[in-house]
Amino acid sequence: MFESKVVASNAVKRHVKVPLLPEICILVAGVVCFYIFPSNLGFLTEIVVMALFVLSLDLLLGYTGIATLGQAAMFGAGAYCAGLFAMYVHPDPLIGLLVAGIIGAGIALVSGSFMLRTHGLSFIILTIAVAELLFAAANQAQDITGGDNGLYGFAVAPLFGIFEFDFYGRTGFFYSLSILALAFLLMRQLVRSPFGLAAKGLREDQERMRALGYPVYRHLMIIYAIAGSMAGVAGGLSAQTVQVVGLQSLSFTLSAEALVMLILGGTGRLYGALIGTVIFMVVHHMAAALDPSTWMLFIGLLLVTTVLFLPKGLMQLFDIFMAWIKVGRRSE
Amino acid sequence: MNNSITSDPLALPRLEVSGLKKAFGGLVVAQNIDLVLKAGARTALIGPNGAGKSTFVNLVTGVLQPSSGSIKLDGEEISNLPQSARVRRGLVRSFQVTRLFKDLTVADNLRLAILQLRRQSFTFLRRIEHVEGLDAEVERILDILGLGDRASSEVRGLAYGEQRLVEIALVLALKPRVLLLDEPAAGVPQSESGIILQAVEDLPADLAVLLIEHDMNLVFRFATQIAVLVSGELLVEGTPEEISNNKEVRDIYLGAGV
Repeated sequence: MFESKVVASNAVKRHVKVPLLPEICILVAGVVCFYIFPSNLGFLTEIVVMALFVLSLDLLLGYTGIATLGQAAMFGAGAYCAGLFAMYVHPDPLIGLLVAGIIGAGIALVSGSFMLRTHGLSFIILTIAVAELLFAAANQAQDITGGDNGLYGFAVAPLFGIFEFDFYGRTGFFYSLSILALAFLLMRQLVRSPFGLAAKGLREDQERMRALGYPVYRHLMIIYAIAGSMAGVAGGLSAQTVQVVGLQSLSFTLSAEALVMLILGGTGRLYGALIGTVIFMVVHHMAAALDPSTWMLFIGLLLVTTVLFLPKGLMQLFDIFMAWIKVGRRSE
Repeated sequence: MNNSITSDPLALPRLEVSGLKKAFGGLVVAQNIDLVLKAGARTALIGPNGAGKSTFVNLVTGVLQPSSGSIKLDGEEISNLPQSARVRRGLVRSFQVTRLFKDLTVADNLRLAILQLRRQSFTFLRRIEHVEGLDAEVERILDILGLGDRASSEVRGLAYGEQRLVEIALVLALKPRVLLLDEPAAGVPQSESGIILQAVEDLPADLAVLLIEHDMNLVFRFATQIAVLVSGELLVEGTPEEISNNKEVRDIYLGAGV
């Protein structure tokens, strides 16, 4: 409304609003990749699942200012639950995904109920501790989780009873891609809603929010649960598409890598989560193919360069590009 | 006993503090504080540095828990309620050092306050622009304070005096019943302080205001009642005339200058 006074007068003429444009872009990019790299569908699916996971982290870190190093707790819990659900209860993928999301939210609510009373460093340490606890539990409960060997041998029924999860991973890829697009749409709505604005307020100054009368703890709990359920769904997707769940799905490495991807892409704008994940995964993939022992070095260099020259992440390149276009237009 | 908020006779106190005491172990930082604010009150709380003014504000708003004594808002005991619940009942404070959401726009700052007042902060999937009447209310409040053209600016980029105005706007947006106004003009350059004073004078007439202030010019211009806090205790309360003629106050606080 306010922007309309300032910006809209010239912007409206140029931009024709396409509804769902970002989601359409995600789907189109996916389809293009599908045709360019038909033999790498497993890897592409991994990227999509990871992007969903990093997106959940952006809601916490980018929008609410909650830094966590234990988001894998919810991812892993969702993954194991989806696997076990398919094995013992029902093989339908969508119901399994729903269960994974509920478990993710549940773990977030239970752990958040005490963690979210702390701040900063204490909170980060607690997030690590919770994830490590779950990791240790999964490792101990070998009869249920398969321990070191991982959980396998569960079958997932065809999607909608029609599309089988085939050997090439076509169904898995489009299934994950659709879920990512849907989640992206929900996130976009969420961050532009009153609830999303409150999240930004919490990021800026929790004390001030309290002085405005906000029930801060309740807000944080709900945000943490939403991010937890997204991470759970990502874990569930991973389980259903790979059909193996390993201990690494609960590992510190996973939480930390997701954080690196987010910071690489840029926090607090959703697109950064996507870009960061794609770049990280692709560089990882290629560098590991060149030399399996030094891929970390490439990632490290990439991250250091980005943080030094683009403190707002790779999305800053986009900002610079847009500013450059604007200047070009003005001088015409 | 009258607990109904709808029938609000002017005589009924909005805020009633009695026998308030706070001690950290053996160190007493506030005691014997009694204060009543009725609708339309314009009371100033003054006192030298370290007199316990901030402690008093923190006790009333719920940042600190009193050791004993009672705090009643509209006749109801609130000393056990958390800070945010007191705000939701209409007890609102402003900050001496502006505490705004600096990376957000002025409009978003105000939207946050209004959404809380309307209990709409748990609206998840509706675009904020589509929340009915929200931006109209933002505009109304900004216009009162002459900030209309600043709506889409980030708070960070505003002059300090304007930031103080936004602080007042935030408070107004919460439609308080009792307002604790903590040094509203602190740190504002002389050239800009006029608009702040005007904004303070233009506060809704029936609002109960407690002004916590150092600046005696502002106190005498604004307050109809003055309470003097010294060493954590309420020394005396009276009209500006009584206070400026009070020998004890002159000795302890005002000095020979006034």
